[in-house]
Amino acid sequence: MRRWREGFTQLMHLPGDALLDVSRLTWIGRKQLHIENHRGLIRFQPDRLVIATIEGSLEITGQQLELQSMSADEMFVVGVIARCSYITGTKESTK
Amino acid sequence: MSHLKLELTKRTESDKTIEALLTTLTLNGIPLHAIKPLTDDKLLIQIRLSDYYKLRPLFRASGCTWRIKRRWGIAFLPHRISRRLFFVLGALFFLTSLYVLSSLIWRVEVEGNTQISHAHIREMAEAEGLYRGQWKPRVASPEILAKVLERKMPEVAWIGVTYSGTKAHIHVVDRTIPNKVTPKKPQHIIATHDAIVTDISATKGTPVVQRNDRVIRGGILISGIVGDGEHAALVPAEGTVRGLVWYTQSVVVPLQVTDERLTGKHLDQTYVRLFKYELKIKGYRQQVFKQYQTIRVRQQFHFMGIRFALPIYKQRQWQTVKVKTIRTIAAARAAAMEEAKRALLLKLDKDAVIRERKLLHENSRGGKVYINIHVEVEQAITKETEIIDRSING
Repeated sequence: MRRWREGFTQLMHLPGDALLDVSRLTWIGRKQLHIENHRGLIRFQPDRLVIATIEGSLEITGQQLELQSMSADEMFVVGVIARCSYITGTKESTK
Repeated sequence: MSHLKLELTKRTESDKTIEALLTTLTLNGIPLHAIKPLTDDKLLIQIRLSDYYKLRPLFRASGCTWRIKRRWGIAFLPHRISRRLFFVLGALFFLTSLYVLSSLIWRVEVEGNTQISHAHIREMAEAEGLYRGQWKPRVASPEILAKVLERKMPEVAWIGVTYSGTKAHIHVVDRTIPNKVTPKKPQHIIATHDAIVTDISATKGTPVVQRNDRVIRGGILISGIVGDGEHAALVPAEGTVRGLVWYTQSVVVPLQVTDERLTGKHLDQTYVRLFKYELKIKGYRQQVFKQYQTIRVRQQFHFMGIRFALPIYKQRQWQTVKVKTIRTIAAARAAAMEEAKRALLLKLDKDAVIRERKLLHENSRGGKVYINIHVEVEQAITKETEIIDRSING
C-alpha cells in the first residue's frame, strides 16, 4: 500500500508530504524549527533534542533548546540551533 | 485562558522517560507549550488548565511526579485577589470613589449677571436641584434647567446652563431695564444766598422773582404751586436761577517773601532697596548741596523678560537757593487780591464767575498787609425744598 502511494506521488510529481506520512521540517533562520508529522519525543536536553520520525531519529543540537509548542503531529523548536541530522534509519515501529 | 506551568520530575526508580510521557500526552490530544528541559530528569511544561484533569490519570501511569510552579489566567483571579485582598479593595475603593466623586457637582459658577446677585441666582438654582454636592444624574438637563430658571427670574433676558465635568456653569444675560425715574414730590426752588437775580428760567412751576430782583436766603424763587384758586396744583418746581452774590474776604500777606529757587546744578545718585534698607550704589564722591530738592524715580530692570528683583531708585538733587524779596505795598495788595480770588473760587461751584472785586479796607502793620475785599460773584443760587404744607391757600 505504502509503495503504491509512493509510486503514485512520484508519477503525479506531487510533493512527498501531500499524501505520504513523511515528516516535513521547516527551518526558519537559525532560531526556529517547525516539524510536522513527528512520531514523538525520544530525548530532550537543553543542548540536544531527539525526535522520532518515519524516516528515523532526528537529532537537533544547539543551545537553550526549547519546544515552544508540541501537539500530536507538530512541534516548534526554538533556541540556537546548530545542527539537524538523522541519526538512525527508518523506524516504522515508533508509533 | 488559564494556564498552568508544571515541573515534571522523573522518579529515579521508574524506567519510563519524561519524553515518553510527553509523547503520550500529545497523543491524547493535550497540546503542550514552552517545554523546557532543566536537567536530565526535570522538565518544565505549560498546559491549559482545562487539560489538567485529563492529564492526571496519564501521569499516574507514568513514572513522573509533577508540581505546579505557576498559574495564571482568569480562573486563578479570585485566588490572586484573595491574596491581595486589601490591595484589591483599595483599588476598588479608589475607582468607586473616583466615579462617585466625579459624578457630583463640585462647583456652580455664575457669570454675566450685573443686576441680580450671585447669591440669588445660586439660591434659585439650588431650588431646582443644582447645588454643590448634588449628584449629576439628579439635575435636570441643562436646557430644561435654563428654561425653568429663566421663567423664575423675569429680570433676566437669557440663561444658559452648561456642565463641564464636575462644574456647572450658569451664564446670565441681563435684561437692560431703562432707568427708573422716581416721581418727584412737589417742591419749591428757594435761594441759597442773598442775591440779585441775573437770570431765571423755570422749566416747571411758577417763577416768583424777576431779573434784578433782590432775593434773600431761603426765599422762594420758583414756586411749586401752579394755577390759581380752585385750579391750583402742586408740582415739583424745576429751573435754573443765577444771581449776584457778595462775599467779603480778608487776606493777610507779608511784605517780605522768601522763595526757593533752582540754580540748575544737580547731582545724581542711584540706590538699591534691600528690604527696608537703601544702599547707595552710585553717587559717592560728590559735593553736597546746602539746600536742594530731590526728585526720585523708581526703575525696574528687565533682562530677557526676567525682572530684577531689587527695586532701583534714581535720584537727582537740584540745588536751590533762598531768595528774599521785599514787596511794595502795591505789589502786596495785588498778590492779596489774587490770593483772595483763588481762595474764593476754591469754595464755589465751577460755573461761578467773579464779576467784580473791590478793596474795602487796607492796613499795613508789622511787615504785613491786611486787606478786606468785596467780591461779587455770579452763581447758581437754587436749592430744592419740599412743600410740606399742602394746603395751597398760602
